[in-house]
Amino acid sequence: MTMTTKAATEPISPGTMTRRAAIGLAILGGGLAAEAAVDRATRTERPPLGGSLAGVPMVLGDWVGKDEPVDPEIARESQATEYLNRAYSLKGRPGAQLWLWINYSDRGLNLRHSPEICLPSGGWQKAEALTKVVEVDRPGGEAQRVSLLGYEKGDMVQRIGFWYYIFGEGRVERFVRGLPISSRSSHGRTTRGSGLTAEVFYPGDAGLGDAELRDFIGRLLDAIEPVLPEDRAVYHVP
Amino acid sequence: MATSTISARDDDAPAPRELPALAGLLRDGWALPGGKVALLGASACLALLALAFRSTLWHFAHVWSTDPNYSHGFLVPLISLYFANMAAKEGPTRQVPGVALGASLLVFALLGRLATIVVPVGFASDLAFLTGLAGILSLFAGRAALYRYGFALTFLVFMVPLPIHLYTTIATPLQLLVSKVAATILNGAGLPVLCEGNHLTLPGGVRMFVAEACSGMRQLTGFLALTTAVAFLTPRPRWYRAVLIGSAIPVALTANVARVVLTGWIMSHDPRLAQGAFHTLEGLLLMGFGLALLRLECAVLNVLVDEEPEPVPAAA
Repeated sequence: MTMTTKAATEPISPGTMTRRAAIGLAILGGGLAAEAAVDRATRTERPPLGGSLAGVPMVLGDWVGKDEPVDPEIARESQATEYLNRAYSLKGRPGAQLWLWINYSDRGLNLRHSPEICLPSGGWQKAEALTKVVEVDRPGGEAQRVSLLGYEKGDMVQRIGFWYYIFGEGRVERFVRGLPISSRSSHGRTTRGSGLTAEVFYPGDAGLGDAELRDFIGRLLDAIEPVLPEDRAVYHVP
Repeated sequence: MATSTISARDDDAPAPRELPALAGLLRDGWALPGGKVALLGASACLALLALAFRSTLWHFAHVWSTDPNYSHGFLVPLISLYFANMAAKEGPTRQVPGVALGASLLVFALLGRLATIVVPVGFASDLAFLTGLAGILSLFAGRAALYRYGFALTFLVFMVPLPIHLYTTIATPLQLLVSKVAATILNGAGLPVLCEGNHLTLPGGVRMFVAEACSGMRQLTGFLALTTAVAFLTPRPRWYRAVLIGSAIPVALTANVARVVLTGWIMSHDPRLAQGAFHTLEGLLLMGFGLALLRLECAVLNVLVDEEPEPVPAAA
């Protein structure tokens, strides 16, 4: 028996198939309409910053900052609406220096550029032994969890303090973002609010320890507080 | 076995052109009453599904082309098509209406999509897309077709990237396990190694870092897809197939432990030989080692199957 004959033994009337097609198209058409409606109905406000990042003080305790130029291509790739790139030196400690990179995106797109992506793509390998999560005490507020990440390339070591905010998302989004299956920040499919990412880089040869880093981050947290929108959630998992 | 060839009516007629069974089935279906409507309707539904899940499809393409852990993603739909073609060789399926099931699956898929608009869980949207494909198949071809082509559809799961957090939750302990086992073997072999997390310190202060790529996770995803495909294709009992699929984990880990041990041994002699192209070559060799392990496992299992009085036929 050929296949055609087999198939011919079980024809289906065009009317039946038309009904099935109508059902499928109606469901999918309805789904597309619902998608547009839900998208519109749940459109999230993407709060702007309360002020310019340039207003972050150059002096944070014993740390003295200096703006550093950013490669235009990196600035473009960061998808940041506004960014800050500074080197902060510790008074009385020649060579003790760290670099601060803060970027804000009104679309939350900047969050894709986390160290988990950027550093490995630059040939850095994550050093689990140097990676941990710490609570950083703030002189003027609640403690905040920050990821301290370690990366190695040959003999070089790069350590990074990392945390980020998403502004304007609701409680449901915040809950889901904490689940293991969530996209998190950097590999994100969607960020419904605006976002700000802070990264503090301190190379292994900068002569800085965790205590100095915690001191800097604590002061920085207080310094950026006035700029951050109220409606926010803070995360630290890259 | 049904074929998709057109029977020659006389000796002078040109030789019939062979079509893949799936294509032949579609061609023959087109000629049936209602076939055109079914195929056009299914195509339109697929187009709408793709439109609804456009962000998911874009995500697939992006991850497959940028993440080495999922570079096999491009192959998975092709392998699925191969399985579908195999299933099509059995001829047309019985018409068992699956309208209610198909409609339910489509609605479920769309609800999944809608949910991921509100909450950013891309993984759910990825699986919802596959559910939508199953829904369209059931709606137009019936439940029997869904059963027949179910494996080909299910195999598409291997193209779905795991959520990164889940991935690292699995990969990180594996990475540590590989480091520990490799260090134990090297120490047992007389090469003193200090294992600190994923850092191995070899004689002479040579330091070696067991990278995430050596956790076995990358091979695990590939081996899982491979063993599943082999299990489907092989006419062996179910327990045989289950063992084969289950062995993907130990095989991938063993291959990676062997890679780390070999790299450690090479680095203790000349660290330059464990970098760049040499390291890549090691990776390829040890991938071959993993495949050899699977082959060996199949040989052992085959001996056990041959001893069975009544082997169960394939349930393809």
